[in-house]
Amino acid sequence: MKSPVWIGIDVGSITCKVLVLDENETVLSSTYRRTSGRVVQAVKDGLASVRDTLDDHQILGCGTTGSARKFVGALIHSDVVTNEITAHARAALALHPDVRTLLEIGGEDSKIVVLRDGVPTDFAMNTVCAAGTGAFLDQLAGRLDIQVEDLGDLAMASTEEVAIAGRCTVFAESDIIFKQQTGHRIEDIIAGACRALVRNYLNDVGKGKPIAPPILFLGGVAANIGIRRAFAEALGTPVVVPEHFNVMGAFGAALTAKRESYCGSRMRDIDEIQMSDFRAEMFVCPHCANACEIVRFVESGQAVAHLGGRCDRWSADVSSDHTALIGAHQHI
Amino acid sequence: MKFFTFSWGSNYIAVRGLLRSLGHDLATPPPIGPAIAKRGIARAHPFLCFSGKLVLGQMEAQLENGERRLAFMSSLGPEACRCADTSDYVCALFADYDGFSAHRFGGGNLGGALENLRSHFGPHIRKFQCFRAYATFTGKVDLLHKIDKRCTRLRCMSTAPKQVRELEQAALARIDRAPGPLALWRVSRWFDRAAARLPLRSDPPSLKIGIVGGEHILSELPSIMVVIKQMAERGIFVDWRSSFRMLVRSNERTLAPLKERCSDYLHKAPSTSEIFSCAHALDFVSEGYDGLLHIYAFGCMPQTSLKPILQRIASDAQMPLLSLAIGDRFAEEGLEGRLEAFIDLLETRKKKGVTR
Repeated sequence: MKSPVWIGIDVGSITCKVLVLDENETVLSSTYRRTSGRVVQAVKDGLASVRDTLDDHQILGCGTTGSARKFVGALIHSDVVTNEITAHARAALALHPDVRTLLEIGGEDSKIVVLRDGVPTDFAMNTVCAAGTGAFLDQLAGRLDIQVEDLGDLAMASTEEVAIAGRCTVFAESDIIFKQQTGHRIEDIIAGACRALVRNYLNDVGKGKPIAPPILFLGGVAANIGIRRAFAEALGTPVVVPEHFNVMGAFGAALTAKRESYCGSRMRDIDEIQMSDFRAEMFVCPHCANACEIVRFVESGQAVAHLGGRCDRWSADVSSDHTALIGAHQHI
Repeated sequence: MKFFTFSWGSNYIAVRGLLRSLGHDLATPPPIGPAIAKRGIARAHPFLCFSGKLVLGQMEAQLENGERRLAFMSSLGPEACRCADTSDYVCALFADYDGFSAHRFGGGNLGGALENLRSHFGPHIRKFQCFRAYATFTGKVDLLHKIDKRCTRLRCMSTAPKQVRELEQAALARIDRAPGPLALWRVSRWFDRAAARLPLRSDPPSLKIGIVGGEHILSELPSIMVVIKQMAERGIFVDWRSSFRMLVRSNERTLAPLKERCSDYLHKAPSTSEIFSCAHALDFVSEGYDGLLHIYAFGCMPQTSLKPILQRIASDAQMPLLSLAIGDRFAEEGLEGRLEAFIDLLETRKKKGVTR
């Protein structure tokens, strides 16, 4: 008899994470890759890369999370669709039940979750600016013509403190140009930018929140040792970067699927997903003056599901079970 | 003469009532949608708040449709919104439309209001006409406010949301037709009776969430309704007490006791919306609500300065607070994700017995 596994997929603005979880809630395999704006291909590639792990197992459930959670949920016929804050909190609590603060910095958003006695009690996300997020580091790496993955090590080689304006990515870039012109070392500038990102995060997302240890630092940006050090300095306490820190959203989605106790998964066969020409298109609903933007999911030339709208017209329009997946099984 | 204005949610109905009392009429503003938003964003200075952009979008659409006479309200109360100072800027933006003219009503008191009406809507207007026009206007604003709030609650409590929507639409049509205060009183009674007949859920709401702010984004009602609809569908009781009416109907006398009650949190020169939102937040705390949801238009100054005040109230009460900025730079996906996470958080707290 094949042993059961659960799959979690987290597709954010920049990256796609796929993870396979066994019945002991142990991660069997995971993958983390950039979407480069091609979500469907990223999910296909992600599933292909964990496929070998699945040979001797039966998929009992699948969950999606991240900003593309509904889209990907419709593509793969996900069993649960959960938001990324809840997914991260669930995963963190599973690995570190005593955690009291989660810091998570993703590609274009960042969040803080406050937990007490194993219960999330408060959270905050960045508002309408991505200055305190991975996008800031991407911008910085692009400006300095280096790989974003190298930023952390370079920051650790800093010997002199350089102040960089962190309130806004645009102003930060101007400041970096000025600091370069005035002869500062790249390493010092990067360390200053790491401190600026942390300062922005704590003043915006973390403002007014009780940041108590143990603190877990999650998300792709946690790989950057310069940011880790800047957080530890600013908070006066170490921040823990747990195993699977960059795929915790997918971990949480898989956990949610597992704990929902599905007897069998509705997830499509991976081969079928690989062959799919699934895509999304947007149109403005012409039926009333609200002019809602509706996302239509199309496969093999057929509309299979719709998302959006202020009334129920489009959610009820397609009789495929895709729509039921997006609506009824949404875990919120 | 026929005028045009922006929607202010459904408050354009009250403006139409005022104008009809004076023998004029008002075109129905086009509903807010992406096309209107795009027009406004293209027309406005980037730093204008999102509500302001929508207003500009609605104005442009109507000017393109041949309307020329804009009727708009100057402040009736002590609201410190910069919109009050930018009305000339707004008018200047459309000066290139031949025949465009702006007609202002409102004023700090009845004398000022009469002066405005005579200057902008006809020198022949008598004092009693002015009084009747404003009685109709404020009566309609009050009733629209009542309908908004009651229907928000009914959406959460009723088992027949379609009937709530139909009742609301019928009520708005009756308010629009009502010629004066007596007719409005009849509409109010009719609405109470009809609302009482709606079937209600028997189970208690899973959560109680108090909404603060939002009065400046009445022109973006569809955005707020998305939020309310999402919560109501999950059996959550939503209480939204703020409204544009507060800004229209408040004065120093009515605000004084509220200011006193909120004195621990307010700064020295609070705006009307800060005072009301702060008072509502404190009410929600004392009434045992599960969470506070602060909705504001991105770039709206009074509501932005309210944010740290609400954070202090929520922190002191250990009550979860979510601030949602609604605007052209805020994707609906991000809004939904935050809202879902907030509901998740409140439900988990309740399930695990986390007390404040």
